[in-house]
Amino acid sequence: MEKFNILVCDDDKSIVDAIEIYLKQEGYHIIKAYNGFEALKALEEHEIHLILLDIMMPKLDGLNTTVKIRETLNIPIIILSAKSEDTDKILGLNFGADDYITKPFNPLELLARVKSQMRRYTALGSIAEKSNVIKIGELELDKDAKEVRVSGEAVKLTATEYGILQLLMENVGKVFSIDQIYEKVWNELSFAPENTVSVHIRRIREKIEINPKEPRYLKVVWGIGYKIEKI
Amino acid sequence: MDTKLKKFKCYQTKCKVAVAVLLFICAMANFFCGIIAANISNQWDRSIIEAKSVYETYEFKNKFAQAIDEVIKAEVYYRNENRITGGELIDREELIADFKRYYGIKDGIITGNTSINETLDGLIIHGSIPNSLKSNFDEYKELVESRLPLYRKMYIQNQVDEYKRSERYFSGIVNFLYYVEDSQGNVVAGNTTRGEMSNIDRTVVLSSGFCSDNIGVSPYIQNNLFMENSDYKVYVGIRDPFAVGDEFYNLGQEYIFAKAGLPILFSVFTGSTLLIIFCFAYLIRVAGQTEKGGKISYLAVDKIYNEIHFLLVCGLLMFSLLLGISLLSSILRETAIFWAYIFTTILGILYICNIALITSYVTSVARQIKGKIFWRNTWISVTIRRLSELFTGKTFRGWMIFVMLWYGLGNCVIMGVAIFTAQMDSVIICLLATIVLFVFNGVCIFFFLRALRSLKRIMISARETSKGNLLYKLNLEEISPSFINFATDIANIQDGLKNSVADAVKGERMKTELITNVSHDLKTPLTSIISYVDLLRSLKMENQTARDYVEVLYDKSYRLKQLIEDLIEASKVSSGNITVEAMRVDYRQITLQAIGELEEKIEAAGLEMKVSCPEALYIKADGRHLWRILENMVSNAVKYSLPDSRVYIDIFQAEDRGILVMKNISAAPIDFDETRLTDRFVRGDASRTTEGSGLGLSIAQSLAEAQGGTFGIKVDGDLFKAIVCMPLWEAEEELFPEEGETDVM
Repeated sequence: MEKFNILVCDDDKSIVDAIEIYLKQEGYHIIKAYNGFEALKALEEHEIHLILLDIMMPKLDGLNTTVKIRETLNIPIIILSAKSEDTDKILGLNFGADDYITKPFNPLELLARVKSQMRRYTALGSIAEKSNVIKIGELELDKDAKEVRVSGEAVKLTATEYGILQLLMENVGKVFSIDQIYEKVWNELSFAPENTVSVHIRRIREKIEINPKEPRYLKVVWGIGYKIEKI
Repeated sequence: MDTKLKKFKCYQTKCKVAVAVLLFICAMANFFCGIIAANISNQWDRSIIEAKSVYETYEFKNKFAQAIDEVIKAEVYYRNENRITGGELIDREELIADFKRYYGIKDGIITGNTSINETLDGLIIHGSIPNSLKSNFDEYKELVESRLPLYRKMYIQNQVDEYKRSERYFSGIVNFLYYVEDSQGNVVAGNTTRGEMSNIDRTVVLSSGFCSDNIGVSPYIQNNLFMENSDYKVYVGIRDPFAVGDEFYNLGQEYIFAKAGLPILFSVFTGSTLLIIFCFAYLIRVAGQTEKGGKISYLAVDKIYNEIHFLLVCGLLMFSLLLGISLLSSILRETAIFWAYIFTTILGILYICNIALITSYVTSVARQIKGKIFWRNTWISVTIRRLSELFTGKTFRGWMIFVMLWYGLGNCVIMGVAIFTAQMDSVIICLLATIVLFVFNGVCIFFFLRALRSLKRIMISARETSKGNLLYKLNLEEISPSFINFATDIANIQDGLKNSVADAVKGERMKTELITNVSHDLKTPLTSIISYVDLLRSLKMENQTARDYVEVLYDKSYRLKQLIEDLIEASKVSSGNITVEAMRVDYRQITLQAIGELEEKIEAAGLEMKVSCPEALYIKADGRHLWRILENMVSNAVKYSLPDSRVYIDIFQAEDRGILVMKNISAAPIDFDETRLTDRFVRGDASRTTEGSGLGLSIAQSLAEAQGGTFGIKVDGDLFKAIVCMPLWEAEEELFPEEGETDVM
């Protein structure tokens, strides 16, 4: 298997080293940079498949670096920042980043996200569009096989969980309340305040999301219901 | 150098005080010299100035003449007591006139052919007395017969007394010598002999029709008449120098004193007057200054309006002048030495007071003139200034009065012209005046309405500002000149408010930036810690103790992460640095969602959630923040509840609020004040062994308040109640919020 090159750019050397250890264990080749200019220079010298980029760096910060990279390259960029405000995340993603991880991060989550981005980047159009397959981002729901796949890997779901996910994925962007979901999936009238639905939702999330606390797909609209976000 | 030093020193307070003291000493000297000189010149005639000796003075001559008069009367006229008692010297006419004056009897002839003449022995009647006046005549006759002899005796006694007084006077005199010769040249009376008299230089010889006088006293002698009618010759003389023991000697002594004292008194008087003038000049020069050309400092007395000050000073001076004059005349007239001293002292005090008054006034004027405020500090100037303020429109009230005055005056004049011309039958001018009156009033009303419109604009602007519309700007160009000051003030207030709000916003943003930066600074090293601890864990160390230690590090690093996040959130929330997007939120749904999310934790703690809510209850809240509140409440319950107990959640509506009450049984006794539980860093267990930052309930409270709700805690024994009240969603705002939000995004 070809070794993928990952550029890790952060002004804190110890963080770069820690990330290097984790990613090396997974078989990636690491190129290190400590500011935006070094990152751009590394991009010229090496063939890079994925970039991990800090925002607050000396000389050239992460956001400007992202803009510079996006002028020429389409490789996945994951921003790695201590800035945890919603506005920071929106800004980062709008500037052209593919994912946003806040510090301090769980190393395993970082690895999962890197793998996810890598798969999306390398598995170019390998799956033909099927009418019975609903694809949202890395999440696929195959109605024929009654199977759900995340980044191509099948996920084990119960029948109820599958029903809920199918309902939400068939109506991407639409918000369903607990009662609506209960009526549609259980085919019963909701008569008592039960937290069954919310518990199921949480379990689905744990199975399909990299970080269930910061879900990409299955989102909670607090006080209103649940939905699957368009990606 | 020397002069400089002198000049510098002469502005010192010490120097001023010294000069003031000198001034008062001079004034006192001046006064006493003046008073003594006045006394002397009152006693002595001007002749003392030219007189070479006491014998040339008017006072001496007067006294000497008096003595000569005594001699003439006693020795030439009366001669001896027997002549008087014998009635020889009675002046009949004088006696009867005195008698009639004494009893109030008028002279008179009773009728045309009747007259009454009085003699010393009775009445002589010529003609007859008419019956009608008979009783009056009898009364008068009786009075003359009984009283006239008595009155005659009294008259004689008076002459005797006078004679004896003269005798006594001559017995007390030593310097005045005299003797009287009759026609035969025999000495009939005297206190000296011819021989002694021949040794005296200063002598006067008097006889009928002859006067030899080498003293110059003859014009002062009054009793020359007695000499005319007699053949006696009087020789008088005065000793030179005076011998001790009589009034002539005293006069001589006083003359010596006065003659010697006057030049001294005059020179002291002149000197002190000059010194007073000098002191005044000095005080005027240095008044109000502590150095040459220095800043003028004023005293309290300078605050009095100058005219009033002037009148006051003048009044006081006039009063004291009058008082002084009356005192002075009292002193000159007063013979009792005690009262003379008292009056002199009072006069002296008055004089000193006046000097002080004048000094104070003059220096005050000097200060004000130097400081160029003399005119400004006059009542007239102040009044003019106030009036001009009133009429130049610098104050609104003054401007209004001014305008109204002119408006009224204009109307009066035009109407006056109209009425006058109507009476004079000049129709055209009357008509013209009427038209002018209408036009004038029309123009005035137009301008008045325009001013009112400006006022309205200003009022609208003020209202907008008070409502919080900071962007509303008052256009000063549209404001009429009468309100331009007011409008400018309002515009300034608006600007000031805008600036202060901008400052506050800037401050708030800086606070947010600070929090963000601190969070970054804390999180960056923490990232390394977490990563390397995780790497250590994956090393599969042989040593069990080391593995245990790493586990502890791993737990604690995650706990630190949680704490930092809570801390940042708490500071953000409590500083109001969060955005709230009010949405229609189903209270029941969000509660179920929250329980679903936290199901794992709840199960791990062995708790059972009991939610009671009959139907959907829509409240106005920000779902994300409400979720944080619920999460903190449930986490709190999970941490501190008695294991295997139940947690009850009741959701209901009360008035215009949606209320959620969560009840759980505390595992440890709650010995905290319930109001303190929402304080920051207060935790249910004093030992702080459990996980948690102590910020959960504080964050919940701040978040609830930011959304317009409340968060409260009630403790009843071991029963712990957390209550969240949120405002209900109002029906007319019933938009589906989620759609609204996506539209905005």
